[in-house]
Amino acid sequence: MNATEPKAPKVTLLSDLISDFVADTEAAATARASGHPRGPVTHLRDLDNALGGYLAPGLHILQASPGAGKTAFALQVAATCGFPALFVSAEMGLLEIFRRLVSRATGTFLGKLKTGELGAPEARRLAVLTAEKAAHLALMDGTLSYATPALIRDAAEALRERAGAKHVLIVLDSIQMWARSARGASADLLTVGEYDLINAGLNAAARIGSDLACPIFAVSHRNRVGNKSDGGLHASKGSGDLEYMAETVVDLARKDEQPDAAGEVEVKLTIHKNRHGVPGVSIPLRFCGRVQEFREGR
Amino acid sequence: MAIIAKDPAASALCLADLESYDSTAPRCSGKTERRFLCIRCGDSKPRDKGHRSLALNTKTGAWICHRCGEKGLLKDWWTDRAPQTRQQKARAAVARAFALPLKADKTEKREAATYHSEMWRTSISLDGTQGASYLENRGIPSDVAHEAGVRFSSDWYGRPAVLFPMYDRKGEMVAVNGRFVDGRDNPKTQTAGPKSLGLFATPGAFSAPLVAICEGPMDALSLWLCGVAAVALVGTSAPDWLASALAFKPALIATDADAPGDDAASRLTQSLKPRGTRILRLRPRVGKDWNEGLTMRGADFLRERLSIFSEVADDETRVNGACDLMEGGRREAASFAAALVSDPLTRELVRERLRRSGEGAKAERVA
Repeated sequence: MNATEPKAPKVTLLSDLISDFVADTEAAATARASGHPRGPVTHLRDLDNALGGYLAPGLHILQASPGAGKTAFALQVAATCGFPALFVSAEMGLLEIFRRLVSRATGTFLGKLKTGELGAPEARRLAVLTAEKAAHLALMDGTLSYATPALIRDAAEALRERAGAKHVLIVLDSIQMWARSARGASADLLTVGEYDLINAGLNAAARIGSDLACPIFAVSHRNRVGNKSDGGLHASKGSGDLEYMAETVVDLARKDEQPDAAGEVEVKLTIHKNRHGVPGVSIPLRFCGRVQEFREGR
Repeated sequence: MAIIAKDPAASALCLADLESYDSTAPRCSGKTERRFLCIRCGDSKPRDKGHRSLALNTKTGAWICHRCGEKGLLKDWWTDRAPQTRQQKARAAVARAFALPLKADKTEKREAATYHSEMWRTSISLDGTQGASYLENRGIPSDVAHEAGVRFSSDWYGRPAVLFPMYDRKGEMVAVNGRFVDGRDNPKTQTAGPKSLGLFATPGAFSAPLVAICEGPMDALSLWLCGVAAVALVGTSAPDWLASALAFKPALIATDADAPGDDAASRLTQSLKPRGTRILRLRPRVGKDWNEGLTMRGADFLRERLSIFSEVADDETRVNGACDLMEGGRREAASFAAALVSDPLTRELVRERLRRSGEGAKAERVA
């Protein structure tokens, strides 16, 4: 769907909504019967079920403390969502992101990819394999310059068309850093507070989601209170609009300090807000930092 | 020609500037648009109706040159603004930074685009026409042009012309560009329909592994004759949809080897690169444009030069071509050619060789 003129508010009688409602239910039934999701998924079964089967169009917030694996989780979702995905990184360079993707996609220890243990032929083989596995994943580097909403929208739309897909997933890592990076766009923004920038960024992200009818998966920092109290609905840093605007708010909390023998730690995923299912659900996950992979903890 | 400084305040134009530069510009009473010769780029062009590329909106004072892309607001329409506080400036800057521009609604133009279709319907096949001879003289076999949908009209705005259909992204014809073939150059071409909505494309251009963007349909046909799929902007401005149509694909920017061509190349680069398009500026080396190169040196010369970009080139040709370019010191072109290699492992090997040769060259320079 293309954005053209601003849409006028729609007023309709319930009777006029029936056919849309039935069509939507039919689409859900078809997806259920065929096993093909209606949109991007996380590939973590319990989480997908709790979110209504797929990531619905709109804003989805993923919040966690530093080092809990937010970027790894978001990258995993982007790479395995079953649809084209645009990963906008405002925190980490593209090469580092690619290294993490290689680690997860090929099961190679992340450390091994950094220490120089691998020769060029092996590194090349792993990189080619990863690029083939996630052929419709594109990375946008927002660390050096500001990725404007228009660029993000156009790139995501182009990615969707290139893949001939109905949907596209956009990941913003992180919403706070992306919004703050706008300061580089104009000297007048240097004095603007983080609160205003994050609110403007959230609105822009929501508009992109609305224009493309796609989910926006936004990684969010926790505020200090949230870090101390181990998360919660209002734990996202910067603006209360984060939880009010979002379709879902998902929180990751690392339980173990030290990894077990398999290199895994227990991570509790809690859905604090859920417009497409029951909120308050907790899902145990295991995170292996060595290969940057989350799996279901049961 | 008036010399205009680059400083925005100093370079702002007023109506008197335009009228003194183009004193015979028609008044067009009752219309909102007036056309002028462009004061910025028009000095090398004939001073006639066909080259009045600067459009002025007489209601708003906004002007734009459709050739060089410069635009602005005439001083006569400037109004005093109350000085902004720091807070207001910041608020405006936030709004600008997070703006999500609406895509222009082209419905009106699209409706206007239908009137050319009657003229197109009266056109005929090229076979045995004056148009076919014209194309042959310019190195384009008429069967090649025919395959690309080119036709002939003996009465295109009263003169004989070769007709190039222009399509939008959906493949609907939105305009027709006619190249007069009666030897008169005033004007050389005339387009029916809103050409800003479309472009001329060789068959299958958008599904080809690589597409070249050039200015004129004759250039596009010249490139296609050498195996390179091409689109022609019919000018130097690209339709809005081109950037997304070429997203994440490789594209050669093959606009003319002159200042407007270079400006267009720079504008195209700015709009295509952020959408993941891999770009190489391919500037014609013989003649001003690709058709001139074709008529001066022949198709075999061009084919050889463009062999690595040809649709039919295999990986071996591309690898060898990339290595040749690298040895010739053309690293950017070599890197672009390497990216076209279809086998991923081979492609990465070539890229690695490029990287190593770059490091070697750097070390040599340091030594």
